[in-house]
Order: sequence, then structure tokens, then C-alpha cells
Amino acid sequence: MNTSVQTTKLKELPDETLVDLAKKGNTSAFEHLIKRHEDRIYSLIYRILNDKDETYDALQETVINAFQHLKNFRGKSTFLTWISRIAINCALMRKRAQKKYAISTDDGDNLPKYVDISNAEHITDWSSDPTLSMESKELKKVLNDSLQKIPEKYRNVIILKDLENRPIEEVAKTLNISVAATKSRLHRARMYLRWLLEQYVKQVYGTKYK
Amino acid sequence: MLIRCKDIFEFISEMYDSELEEEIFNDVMEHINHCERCLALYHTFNKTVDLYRSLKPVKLPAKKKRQFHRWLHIEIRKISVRYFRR
Ligand SMILES: [Zn+2]
Repeated sequence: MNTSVQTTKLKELPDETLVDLAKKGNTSAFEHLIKRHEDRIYSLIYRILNDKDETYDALQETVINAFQHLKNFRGKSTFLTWISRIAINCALMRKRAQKKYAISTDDGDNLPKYVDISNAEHITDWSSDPTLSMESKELKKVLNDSLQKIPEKYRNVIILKDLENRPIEEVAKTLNISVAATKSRLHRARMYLRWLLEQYVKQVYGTKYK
Repeated sequence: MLIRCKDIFEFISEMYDSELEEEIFNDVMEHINHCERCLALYHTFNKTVDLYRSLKPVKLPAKKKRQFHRWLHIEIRKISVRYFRR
């Protein structure tokens, strides 16, 4: 058999066909599927775990899990959505085991009042501060750290929607919640992150934004 | 539609995603342009989401990726033997 021709062929096949082949035991088809989506899965897991080694381990776990449960995949969502759900579960299991994030396992129903700031006295506009530039390593760290501080159910939504740039319907499917719930969580997550960024800006600039 | 500050807090995320109906959107913008507080919220909210959206996807380093591909090739075949050829 000419394997190079076979490989080229597999590359051209859509996900659904590769899934069917993989279900019949074609391991090359499954390898192709994974290679096609590995970057997005890796990035997604990394956003949750914020640690390279842990992410790599969770990626392997995801792949094994996906292969073993492929027969349960009925094609009601895309393969990427389906495997993303597995990836999130693998990542969350690991995260919950990490003691350092014990606080954030709270389900988020007690999300602090500052998400609803409609009664706040005054809001300062710090949005055009020149230091809020993506060139700043410190800012990137602040953004990533803030992401780790928000409760899981809000974090998952914002990671998928704003960081991984997935459509809202796909986010809802991945997390197995309604589109309305997804939008509501997204709103609260963004408000929370805005507030956290504001605390940082005020802390750095003190009186400038009081 | 009469827009109050409270409504801005409700709509702000949908506004960011351009999901508000045009009529409401215009009323909301009308309010924002006349309310210093909501304008500040609007700007800082948009800035926050913009910053998060500009965080680049995290990539598997090339060396690690090669390692992953080698592992993938071997591991899937191993599992497959167990699953398909009992
Ligand atoms: Zn207002």
C-alpha cells in the first residue's frame, strides 16, 4: 500500500469522514483528526491550567479519552466541540486537584457584588491609559492571573468565547448550557474582569484614577 | 425607550457583541453620550474585553509537538489493539 498517497487523502477528508474511519479502527484517521485540532485543544487547556507540563499531560489524557469514547460521538456537534468538552473536563479535574486554586472551585453563585456595580458612586475612565498595552508583560500576567481568580463556570465561558474566539452557540454546546445562560455568564465574567483590571490600575496609579 | 444607568449595565455585553437591536442601540448610545459614568463604564468594559481578546492562543512548542506526535502514533495503536482486535 502506498502510505504517502493514503496520508494525502486523509488530510483532505472532512472531520466527519475521519471520525467514521476512526470508529472502524483506522488509527491514522484519528491521528489526523487530532493533529488538525491539537493547537486549539492545547490552547484551551492551557487557559484553564496556566501550566505547560500540566497542559501537556491533560492533552494526552484528552486524546486517550476521546479515542476510547469515540463510539459515543454521534455527530450532534462538531468533533472540535465534542473533544473540547472532554478537554475541559480533563483540565478541570486536574485544576481541582491543585491546592493553589482551591478557592476558585466555588460555584460562583456568590459572585461578589462588584459585578453589579449599578449602585457604584463613581466610575473613572482609565481605558486610554498608555500603560494598558499588550506589549507589557506585566499586564499580560495581570490579565492571566485575573482569569484564574474568577469562578470556574464564568471562566470557562470567557475562555471559549473571548480567548478562543468560538461562536456563542458552540460555547453553549461545549458547556452543555443554554445560549441564554452562556450570555449571562459571559456578561458577568466580563464585568468581573473589568473590575479586577480596575483594581490593578488604581493600585498602580493610586491617586490618578481615584 | 427610556434608558437608565441600570439598563446600560444590563446591555453592555450585548453591545460589545453588536447584538442589540438598532433602535435600542441608538437609545443606549444616546444615554452613554450624556452620562459620564456610563461612558466610563462603556470605555473600560470595552477595553477589558479587547485586551482579553488580543491575548494570543498558546502554542505547543515545536519540540514538544514532535514528542506529542510520536506519542500519539504509538499510543493510539496500542489502545486500538486492545479495543478492536480482542
Ligand atoms: Zn448612565
